[in-house]
Amino acid sequence: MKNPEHNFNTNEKEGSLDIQKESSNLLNRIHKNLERFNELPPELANKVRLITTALVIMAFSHKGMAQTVPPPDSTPETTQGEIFPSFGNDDEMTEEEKEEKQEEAKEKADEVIEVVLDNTKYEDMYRIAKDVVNIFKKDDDE
Amino acid sequence: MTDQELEDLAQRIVSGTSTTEEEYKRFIKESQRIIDLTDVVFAS
Repeated sequence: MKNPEHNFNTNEKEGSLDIQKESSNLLNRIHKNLERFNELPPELANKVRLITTALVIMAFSHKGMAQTVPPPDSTPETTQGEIFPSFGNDDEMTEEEKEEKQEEAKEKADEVIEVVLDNTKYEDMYRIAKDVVNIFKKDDDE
Repeated sequence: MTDQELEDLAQRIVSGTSTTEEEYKRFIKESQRIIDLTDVVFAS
């Protein structure tokens, strides 16, 4: 079995973890084997389902819900291959706008979770999560 | 991390309840371990 310790994307100076990026990476790994999800033992499948829900939230969160210290020279996240895009440049928003945006994000995430909890299929959750991302993108474009 | 701890932490993350960066890190590591296990299953 593999060693569970992995090299996370850390900011060496601050010793912090890019939670949003790691969450997206883990979701990508889950998604890679989506077709074989039903091959997992039930207990393991349940764990994957459990962490997936939280990982979606963590990947959705921008800088508010997951309080991490970004690298000093970080730029807005548009990393190739990421599932969940950045929802805009927080630096250009006022505190009030940030709070409002975070509240909206939380409400939308709650809608996702509500559906996730009612569904037993990861595929459904993933499709819904992507739909919600599209809603965010549409909102940002407006 | 026990199953119960994992579930509690996941629920707190989902609900937006106060969660420390250390807890996020633990959750990421545990998630990594679980996904590693799935890879082992798929590889067998």
